[in-house]
Amino acid sequence: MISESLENYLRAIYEIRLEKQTVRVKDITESLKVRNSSVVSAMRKLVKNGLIKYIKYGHIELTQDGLVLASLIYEKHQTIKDFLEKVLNFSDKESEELACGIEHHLNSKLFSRIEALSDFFTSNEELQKKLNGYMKSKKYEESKSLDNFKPGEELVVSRVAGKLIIKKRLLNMGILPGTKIYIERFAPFGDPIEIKLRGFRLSLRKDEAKSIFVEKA
Amino acid sequence: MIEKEKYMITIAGNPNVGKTTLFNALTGSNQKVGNWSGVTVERKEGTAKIKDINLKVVDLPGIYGLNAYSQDEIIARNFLIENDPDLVVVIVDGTNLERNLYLVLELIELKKRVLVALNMIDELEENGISIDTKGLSREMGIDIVPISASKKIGIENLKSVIYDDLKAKKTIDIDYKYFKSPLKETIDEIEIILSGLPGSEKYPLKWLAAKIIEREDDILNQLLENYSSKDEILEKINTSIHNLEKKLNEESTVIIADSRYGYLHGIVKEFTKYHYTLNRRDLTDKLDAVFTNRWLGIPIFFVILLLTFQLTFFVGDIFVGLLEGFVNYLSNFITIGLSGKVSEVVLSFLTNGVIGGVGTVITFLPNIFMLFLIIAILESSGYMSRGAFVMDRIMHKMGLHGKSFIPMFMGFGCTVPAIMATRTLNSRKDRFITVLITPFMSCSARLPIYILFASVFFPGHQGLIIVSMYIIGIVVAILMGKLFKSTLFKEETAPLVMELPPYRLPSIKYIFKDAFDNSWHFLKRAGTIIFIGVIIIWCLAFLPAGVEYGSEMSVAGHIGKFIAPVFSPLGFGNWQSSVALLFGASAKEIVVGTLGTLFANGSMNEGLKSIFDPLSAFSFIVFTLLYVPCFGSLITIKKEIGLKWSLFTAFYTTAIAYIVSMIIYQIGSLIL
Repeated sequence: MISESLENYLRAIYEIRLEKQTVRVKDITESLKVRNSSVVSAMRKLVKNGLIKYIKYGHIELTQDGLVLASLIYEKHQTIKDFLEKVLNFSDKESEELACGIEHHLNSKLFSRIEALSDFFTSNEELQKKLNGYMKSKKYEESKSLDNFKPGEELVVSRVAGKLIIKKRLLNMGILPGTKIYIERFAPFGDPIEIKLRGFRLSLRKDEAKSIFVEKA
Repeated sequence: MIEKEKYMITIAGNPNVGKTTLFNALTGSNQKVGNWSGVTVERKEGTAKIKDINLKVVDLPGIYGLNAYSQDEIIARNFLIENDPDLVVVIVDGTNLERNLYLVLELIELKKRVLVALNMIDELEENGISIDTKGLSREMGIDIVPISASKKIGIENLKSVIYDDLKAKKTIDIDYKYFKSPLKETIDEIEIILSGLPGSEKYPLKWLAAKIIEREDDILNQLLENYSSKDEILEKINTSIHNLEKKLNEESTVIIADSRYGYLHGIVKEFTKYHYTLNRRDLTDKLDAVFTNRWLGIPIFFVILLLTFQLTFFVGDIFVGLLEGFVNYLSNFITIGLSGKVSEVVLSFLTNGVIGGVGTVITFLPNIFMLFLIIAILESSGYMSRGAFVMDRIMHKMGLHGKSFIPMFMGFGCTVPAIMATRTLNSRKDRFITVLITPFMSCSARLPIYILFASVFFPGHQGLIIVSMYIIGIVVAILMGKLFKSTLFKEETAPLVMELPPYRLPSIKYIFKDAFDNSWHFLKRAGTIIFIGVIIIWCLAFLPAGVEYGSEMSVAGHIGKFIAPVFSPLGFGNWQSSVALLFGASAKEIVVGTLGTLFANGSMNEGLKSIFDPLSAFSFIVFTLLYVPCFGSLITIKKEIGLKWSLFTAFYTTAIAYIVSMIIYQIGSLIL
């Protein structure tokens, strides 16, 4: 087992190798946007692990072991990325970033199941369409809680979460999905928050505001 | 002769909509009203007569709905279900219809006979809003009467509609049409499951079903408590609710609230006309920009607090002088008029006992009246909740709620109503901590003690000494609050969902009535307790027969001498102060009365100066500030949160008082 960052280096080498004939330290530096010294020290570790070898003029070559491991890491990354992009509708950039983080935390069982899920949806267009519709419904739309906004913002409630006792209180006061809320002000120390809704003013602590999810109107 | 018909009606409504004002208008009784959510937490009753019928009028606490998250709503719900009033008059703020009608809808669902009093019609007119009450009335199937409770507009009309409604004995018909499919089917399903269940006949089944879908588990648990196939029924209900949630992809509590609000939003839109745009900045916005301003909010709060005391003392003191003159005159008049005609014992009892004690307290009445007057203004103007808003962060740090500020502030007036005011705090933790530390908020009964000692020992610095007492009280309260938060009550804090009502000009008549009522209650309480106290003290000071009045040889002197050494480290190990403190535990104002009685034979000033120096005097008034709250407060605490806590309060406050006074006296002695 090698560390997460070494896995990333190995994958970078593999990816560069797919495009070019030769891999140099400079290419890795550019690809991963890290400092030269970091790359050098990582390469040293990979050499030690017997995954790469230096050949002349600073060129890097994967060993047989390295090639096997790198291709595994690469495929895993691509599968996750595809899943995020094609099934869950993340953008290319988002999928790339998220995949970089997620890929290191999957055991082979979870990975193979994600792979199955991914294949399942990509081969069933109808289901994928249904899923897309589901994800677009209000309840699952990406929304932030009320405490993330500033006074003067007009918002629409998308979801009321939290403990039942707080939720009921909020619902009773008319804070429901679809309710328009205007943030009037923060109290002197930034807490509580004064909001306007349905023609009246309400004071809420930030803790309670955290359970009200809103979108910009 | 035919007995007059007797009916029971209740008044319900959201907090801050003029419920108590309407209650007063109907019953003519003297009640307290305020702008703070929940002043009317006590159940109040009155009687009224309309034409040939007698009415019992019950005032419900201010509520937003009939859910179990707040004590007030449970009180209201249980009352409505158990007592089944002949009519529920719901007072509704016309400027805030949507939310106000939510409660109306819940009451109709509960199949109560509802009459809506549409309040604030004067404000509506000013704001150019018109409401088609006829249309709204037809839509909701209830009578709606426009009124202005504060300006007494439409009250007679309301009375005659109440009369007609009571006489008509209309049956309530509700179609629950806003519970649309698939919610409608789920309600029907659960209704069938519930029907025939023992205990369910108390409720309209559709209402019960809706409440269960709303996840009001307490009702369901109550219903199923001793039912044999409880699990089976729960299972069925849960499946039903779960199916509904799945169909609508939403939680059941939200589905119910959404159905009601959706309906209300629609009908309010249909039957109201806004002539102005709603997003214009109104007066409340302009005032709030100042009062709850990020930088000005807290300084203004403290300025208002300071002004409260300045007014209490400066304006109050003018009348204090007059009353003092009157009491002296009375005392002299009796002495001259009766001397020689009645025995020495009776004369001593009248002048030393009655006039010396009660008279002393009466002269402080103007201060108390002013304080209650200002509290009434702050409450009914809407500032109180702004105070809670700006202070919440600080109060929250102390482990309290912004709302705790209000009972604590009321504590400056009198601890007894302050403790009762904690009922609106809906978490046990907030409420208990507030009750436990409120006795440190220096009540008006303690004021006479400070005034007396400050004027004798710190002439020219009275204001400073008195303010320092208030500050010491607040600081001790904060520290104890923090301590209790992290020791006795480690549960989590309650949510602060508090309405900030619009600013309204307080009615002069109301605030004076309120201040008068409160002062009168204080006087009555002080009058009876002090009268008994003074007689006991007089006896103790007079007996055994023949000793000089209040001397060391009297019974009082013996008791005082026995406990006095305990107070030596605090600087007042004299028997007189021990006696005063002992009797002061029954009511703090008695401390002054007692000293007055004990020094009746000479000048009070000289007497005090003979046993205190400025440092021990200061230590003494700090002790009276902090030690066991009066008997009345302890009784109230017992009533509110139990005997255990009442005894705990008595013990821990005295311990704190002892420690603080000792620190003051010992450190003071080193420095001075």
